[in-house]
Amino acid sequence: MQPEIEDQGEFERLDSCDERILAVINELHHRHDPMPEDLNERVQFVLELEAELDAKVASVYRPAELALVRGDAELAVNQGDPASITFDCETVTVMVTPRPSAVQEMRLDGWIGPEGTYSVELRSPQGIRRASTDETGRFVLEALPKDEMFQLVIRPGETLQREGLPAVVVTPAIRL
Amino acid sequence: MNTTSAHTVAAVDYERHARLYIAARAGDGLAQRTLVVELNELLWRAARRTGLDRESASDVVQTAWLRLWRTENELKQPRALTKWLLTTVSREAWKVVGHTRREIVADPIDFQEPVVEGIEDALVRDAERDAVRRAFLVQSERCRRLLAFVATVARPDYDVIADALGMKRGSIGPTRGRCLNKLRRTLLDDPSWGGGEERGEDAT
Repeated sequence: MQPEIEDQGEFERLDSCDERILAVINELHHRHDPMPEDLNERVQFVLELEAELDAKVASVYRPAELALVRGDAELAVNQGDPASITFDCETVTVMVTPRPSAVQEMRLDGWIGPEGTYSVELRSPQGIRRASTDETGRFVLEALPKDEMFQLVIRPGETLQREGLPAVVVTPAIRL
Repeated sequence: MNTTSAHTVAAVDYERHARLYIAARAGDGLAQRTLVVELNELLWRAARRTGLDRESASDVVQTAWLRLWRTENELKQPRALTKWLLTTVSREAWKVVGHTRREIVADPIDFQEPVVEGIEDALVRDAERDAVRRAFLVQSERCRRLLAFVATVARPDYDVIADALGMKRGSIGPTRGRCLNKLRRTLLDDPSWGGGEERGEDAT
């Protein structure tokens, strides 16, 4: 066994003044930009499933901030729906667009590529909603509670799996 | 007594976290939860430092935790847990930043306006904090990024910093020294920094 201490002593020791300064810097960042209150909860929620599924994990690409607008003329510039969120993991891409459908309710329009059929699970602490896509990969989930935390679990159909797609893809939990 | 009311720099306990990781891998849910609670803030800071907004930073932190438990990612050296997580968060964050070309709304290593607090802090501590804040903000971006990083971790790993900040490994130690010296000189020029050196030893 190799001793593994070397990664701890690389920095010269700090004197108490430097330590104090760094502690204050750390404190300032902590106050200025605290970690979201529910982040521990979100992580624990998504990890519940991972042990049994060993699923591929998708990256999340959220729409660019609307603040990018430079003039009134550019307000109309539209690169896809500004509310859309994209989940991507090498071979599978999921795009969802949440919209308010009633008071405190959301509707989720989704599209998954490559084209084919997928089963879709929307996991929340309240339970699981299921949907299937049509052959073009489209699906809709309605009457979803607002502000609830959701994780998507996507299972490509057998045909797609034979073409090399993974059995299961999961996403981080997001709030709609 | 050596207590300070400021956030003490998080000491990354490699041995303990390695044990928790091994237990969690064997199915111990409590060990897994403990790791999440103890390391999440560190990962959150790392994600924010890349310039990601708060929502995307939350996504990236979750992604790293999810990938950690995949069978193919089982760590051969459990002591490298923190390093693996930080590296994964940084890489994923850079990927997301590059992909969406998001405008960085506010640089998260900065803190613009003083937050109005209750009466919990003594005036002296507020003055000290303001002095450090002012001094920090006039440092170069490179220094601010590095100091923000080393402020979060007590015994940071050079490889992780090199990866996260895009610095050469060999330049990290000397740069930290230079940045701290500059910051101290700025502080000493500030009349409201009343001799941090003497106070550094912590009165009882």
